[in-house]
Amino acid sequence: MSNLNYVEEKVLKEQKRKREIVKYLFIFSIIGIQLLNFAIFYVVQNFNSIIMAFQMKKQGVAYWTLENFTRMYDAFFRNNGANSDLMIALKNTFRFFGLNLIMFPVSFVTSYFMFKKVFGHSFFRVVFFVPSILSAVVWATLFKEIVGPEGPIVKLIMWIQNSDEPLLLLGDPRFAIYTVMSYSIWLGIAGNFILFGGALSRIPTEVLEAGQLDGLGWFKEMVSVVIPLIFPTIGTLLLLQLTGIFTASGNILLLTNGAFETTTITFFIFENVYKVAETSNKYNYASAVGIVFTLLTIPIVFFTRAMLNKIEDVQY
Amino acid sequence: MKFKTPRQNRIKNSSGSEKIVFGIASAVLFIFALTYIVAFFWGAIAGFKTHDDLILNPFKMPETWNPINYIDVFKLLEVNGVNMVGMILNSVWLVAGGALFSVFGATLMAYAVTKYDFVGKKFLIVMNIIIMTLPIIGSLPSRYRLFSFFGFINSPTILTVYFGGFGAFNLYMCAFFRGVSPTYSEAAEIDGANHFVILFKIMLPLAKGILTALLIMEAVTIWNDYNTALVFMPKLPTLATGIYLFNTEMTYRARMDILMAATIFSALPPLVLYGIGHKTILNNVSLGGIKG
Repeated sequence: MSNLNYVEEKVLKEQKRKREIVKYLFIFSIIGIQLLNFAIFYVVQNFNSIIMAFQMKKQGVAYWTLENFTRMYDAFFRNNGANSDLMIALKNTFRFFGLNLIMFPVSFVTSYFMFKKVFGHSFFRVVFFVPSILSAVVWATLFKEIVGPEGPIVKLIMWIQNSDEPLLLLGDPRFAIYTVMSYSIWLGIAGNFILFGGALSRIPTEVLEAGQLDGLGWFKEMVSVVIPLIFPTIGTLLLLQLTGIFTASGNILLLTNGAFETTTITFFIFENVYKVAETSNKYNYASAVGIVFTLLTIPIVFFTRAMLNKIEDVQY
Repeated sequence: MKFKTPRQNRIKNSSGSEKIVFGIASAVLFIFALTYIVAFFWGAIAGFKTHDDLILNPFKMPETWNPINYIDVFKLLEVNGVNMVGMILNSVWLVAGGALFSVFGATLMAYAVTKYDFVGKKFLIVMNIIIMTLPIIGSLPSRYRLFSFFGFINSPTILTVYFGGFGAFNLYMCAFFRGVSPTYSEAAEIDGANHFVILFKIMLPLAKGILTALLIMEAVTIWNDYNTALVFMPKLPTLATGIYLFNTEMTYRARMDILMAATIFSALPPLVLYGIGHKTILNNVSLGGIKG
């Protein structure tokens, strides 16, 4: 009897082991390629980035050095640091980051108003899709003409100032960065509205009706009912917003190509790769710059996540 | 005595100040909406002008309407030896392959992580959060050298990297699969279905709505992506990249009218795709929290 049990157990165990093997084979077959991609284009890529930051090439021979970092230090802290490309890039990156922080609540309120069915909401719901579905190339081409010397905006300014000298809104260091930023405002007013709209539409109507019965105004409703209810979505987007502090940028490539003091960190790195020979030391310098700013981002990620984790989600 | 319905109450409750705020909001949104429409139609009309007419009177109606521009664009738009037809073909294979690979890569990864227990599962979940929240700045130089090493530069083999599996799509799909009751797969298992049958015959059909939404979103993103082709496949420019290069690298404003026609032309596929799919997207795509 006990012998039979033993055999049975062994058979069961064997079956279980087989099932496990089949399961692992299946899992590997559906995620194997992704894991390989991850290993090469994340792990190896970033590891290689670190190595590149500490290397330079002289006549094709790589050697270890801290030169990239000292060069970066000089760009920020040596006498004329204020005018270095990298300093301008960092300042502009902060400008765009600040703009993003302002546009985030603006785009939320926009989505909220559409959700509250302000007059014309179904029209807005269609039209506000358009900025996110047409290529930035399309918008930039149109925008350049609109703010160009022949465009209505410059004509209007000239008329107000009563001057006949057209302003170069994208071609003058005094205005260029603000013109690029206004492009972001123009198209960003309804940014994230797909995700906000999706979250808002999931709020049970009874909850809102209960609040309305209690005489809640739109602002109170937004702050004390709607925001807590969709906080998982808001929190996630906010986290991505905050951790993007050093990647904040505008449509630099298409509008100014980095000229007229409009460069950002992201564009600076792009500029060091695009059309630059693969073997160039510029690649190594850009890697070093990237690593420093990535390291600076890490504490921000941890801090923001810790803060967001403290806020409890509402279940509904 | 009559009972008030909530609806009546709502109207009564919307005070004067609320009406004013909503009115102003509506007006502001209307102005923005109008600028998008005007900009787009201005571009479309500009595409009908002659070059000189466009330069001299950019914001007037055309002196003569030139529909020929929208045909000429196929002959005249040429960048790095690739004409408009070539660019469209490049866009098409990149969009079709890229969207399929990135959506299914993420879907399969999300499915494995939500429906199975296996060694390393926790790592994959945490890794996705790290990849999403910590931007690796300045990985482009290293990425370029790796792509070059694997021969991805100027080659359709670049599609390989779209089969990634991490990122926002992974989160969307995880949320979806978590919501699918295990009874479906359990019932199938009892009927003797294997892992593949459950995945392809039960789970993926259930996910049809969200998969369609993600495919459309990703297709539009890739169609509009001028950066990838600009850096990694300059000899195989897509339409978005081609228009950018035509704009910057040709003699300055050589044929503005052609550029406008091409620009408007390139906007049509996304408009059509969203026209078909915007309801599916609004109903299916939602981003939850990423705690942990």
